[in-house]
Amino acid sequence: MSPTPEELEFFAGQEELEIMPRFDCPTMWLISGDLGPFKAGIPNKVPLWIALHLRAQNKCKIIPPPWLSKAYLEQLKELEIKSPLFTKMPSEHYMAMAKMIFEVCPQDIPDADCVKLLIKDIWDSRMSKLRTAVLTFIDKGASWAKVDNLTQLEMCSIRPFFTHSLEQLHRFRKTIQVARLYSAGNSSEEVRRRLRM
Amino acid sequence: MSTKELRKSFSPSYFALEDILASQTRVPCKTEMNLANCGFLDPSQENKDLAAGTQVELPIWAARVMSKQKRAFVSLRMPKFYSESYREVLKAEPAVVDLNKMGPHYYQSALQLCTLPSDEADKIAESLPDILQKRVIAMADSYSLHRSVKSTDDISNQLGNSLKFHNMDPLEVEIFNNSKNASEELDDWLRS
Amino acid sequence: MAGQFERMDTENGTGGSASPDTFGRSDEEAEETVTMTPRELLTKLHTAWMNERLAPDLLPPQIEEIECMLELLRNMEVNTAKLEKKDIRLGVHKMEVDRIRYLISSYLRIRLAKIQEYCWDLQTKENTRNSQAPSLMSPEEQKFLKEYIENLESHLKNMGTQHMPRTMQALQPQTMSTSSNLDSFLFLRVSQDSSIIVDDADGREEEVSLEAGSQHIIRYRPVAKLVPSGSVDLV
Repeated sequence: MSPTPEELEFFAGQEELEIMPRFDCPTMWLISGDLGPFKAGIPNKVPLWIALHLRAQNKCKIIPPPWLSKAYLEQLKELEIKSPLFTKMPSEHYMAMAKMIFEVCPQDIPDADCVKLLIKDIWDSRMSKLRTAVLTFIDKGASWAKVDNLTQLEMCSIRPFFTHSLEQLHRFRKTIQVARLYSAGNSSEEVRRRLRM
Repeated sequence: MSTKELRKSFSPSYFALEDILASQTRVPCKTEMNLANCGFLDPSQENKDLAAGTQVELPIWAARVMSKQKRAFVSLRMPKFYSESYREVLKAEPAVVDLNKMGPHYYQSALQLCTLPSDEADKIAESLPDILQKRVIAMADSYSLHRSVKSTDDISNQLGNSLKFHNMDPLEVEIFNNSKNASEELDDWLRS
Repeated sequence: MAGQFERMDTENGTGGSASPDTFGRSDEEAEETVTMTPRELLTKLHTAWMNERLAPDLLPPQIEEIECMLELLRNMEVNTAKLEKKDIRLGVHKMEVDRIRYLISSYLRIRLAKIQEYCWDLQTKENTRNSQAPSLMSPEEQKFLKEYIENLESHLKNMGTQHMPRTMQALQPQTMSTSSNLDSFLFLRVSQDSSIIVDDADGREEEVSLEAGSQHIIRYRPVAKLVPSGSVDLV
């Protein structure tokens, strides 16, 4: 039931960013909104999937979003490492967007190698926090928790381990009630009725 | 259009093979009355009938039917691996025990045994969540390890505290494999 | 310029985001037309896809939204056929249409997988449903369900039960049916302040308030009724 990383990539494609077009074009009336008009040399905002499509044909240059820069990410990394909780990411799809942009046009990102490494460091830091949080949650036997600022891709990294373990533990705990009802002499229909949810 | 797309965790169902296999686990029973024509239940004896007081091992599904409270043809005890002494061992060091040795479907059989008429049923049910909890925590580090590692035994030699693969119950194996596959999918995507 | 792409007029029911009254959807309960822009419709379909993907059970179908979107796609294809092959917009429009088609077919495929998995349970729900209450399935899905069950039962009879003793030949859908596991754990994002009662396996209950904008991991059962209304979205 969990979306695959590729499916999340599809959704990440909706995020908007700026491009520097190398072409002229009147307004595009797309279902998802109007874009343009485009004039060569004048920046324009488009969804990521269009940006990458045009970039792959060399029809534009990608202007990296403000957060995809060495300076911003260095600050973010520090914040993330210092904080015991998850910091708010500049975009829900920060990892997918970075990956897609690096795939198509790393040359459009200044200090690309450095930026890549910083994103990886931030990801690793969050992953390790996540792993600890998951184990604490299982250990405590809690039934719900707040997980603000966690992005979908990060949630996918702990599914299905986290969700399946919790489900089986819940099933086992429920069985204790079942066993007690049977011991008390209830029939199976009665047990099913009592536990009918 | 495959139902594999649903990727759910295991839950018992009519068609679930694990459930059916788990119900084969043998339960020690004692006949409470003479059972005519039931000699076949005890392969070690040749009589056509089964005398009262005979010790016989029946699979869970048969024991359940034969021990129904209104007409208990047999009385039963829990299999030895679910007895108090074994439960104590599991309670002390859950992550180390080889659950495969304790029965091919330890958890699944236990869940079915809990619904049989026996004093031990409650206690068995109560012991299960803690065992799974500790073992799942021990499993946590191993599924996301790099694929070049051949087996979790290599890792546990290094980490010293993870759950060995060949000690895992089928339920744990399923959680482990699903987690490993998802983790590898994500890794592949990140690296591509 | 030959084949100039023109902005579609509102009578066709398509257009850019600048034209808000592009189509209507009747809201049965309020008996008024709810209008939304194509962009909003697309966002709604995205949410519907994600919810359907993650929810253990079958959610109410977004039939009208899908039909509206398919209409938009058809009109878009008609209009883009007027563009020149070299026009840069052609590629973009085509890709957008492909993306939306993928979303819709994936959504329908997820639903069909659930319908197959929980076939007998859904049939029972459908048969016992109050005629005023809306069905969980579209008319096409209901037809699919009926045929699927017929095929499955006939297959089981041919392969198995007809070879068994006469007293054991009857198939019992009540015992064979699986219902969705409402005790699955999942992540959700809250869009409207809500309050729910969470009960754990030991029977203890706790009231939990869900603030708009927060995210939680929780069992599906206590929040199931909040998903169709849009108070929470699954992530």
